[in-house]
Amino acid sequence: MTEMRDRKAYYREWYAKNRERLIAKARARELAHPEETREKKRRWQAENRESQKESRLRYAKSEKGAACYARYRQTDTARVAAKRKREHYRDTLHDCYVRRVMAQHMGIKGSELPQTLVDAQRELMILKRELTK
Amino acid sequence: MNNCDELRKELAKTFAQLKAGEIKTSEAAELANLAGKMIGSAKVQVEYYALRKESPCIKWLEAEA
Repeated sequence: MTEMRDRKAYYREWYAKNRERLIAKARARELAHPEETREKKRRWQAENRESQKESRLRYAKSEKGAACYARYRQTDTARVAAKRKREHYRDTLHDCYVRRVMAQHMGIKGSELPQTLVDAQRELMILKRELTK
Repeated sequence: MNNCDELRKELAKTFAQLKAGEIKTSEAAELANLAGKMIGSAKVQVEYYALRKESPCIKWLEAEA
């Protein structure tokens, strides 16, 4: 047991001494094998998608994260990105856009509308767009 | 047209016919107008029940199985 602890302590010490070198070595390998690295990252993301999402949400809800996101929303980059996203939703008649338009003069939220009604409204919008062309 | 799903299919069919030039613009416009009225009336019904905090099964909005 003591021997194992010694070995662990030794390894920790050794790692602390060689940390930079090991990171550089791993990075060099990543650069030398880009396709393998991409595949590895994709696999990791697929395996950890849910936990990553939870972590992001936890950060966004924290005081520090909320302040950070609020600061980001004030920047021109964020405004441009948000506008691009809105335009994309409008052009593709995304669910959120259709729901928002439908709920504009209603006393309820767009999310409360049934999906079948939203789908019908989308078809109607497609037809109306074609008629006004 | 017994339900919302059928209305959606009818609208999609009208759109395809309009694109193919099989129906006149005025005809398609009439159908779009009528469909708008039907959707509007369903919206009012949904809003009414939501404001009353009721959630009854509205048959016209049920999707086909």
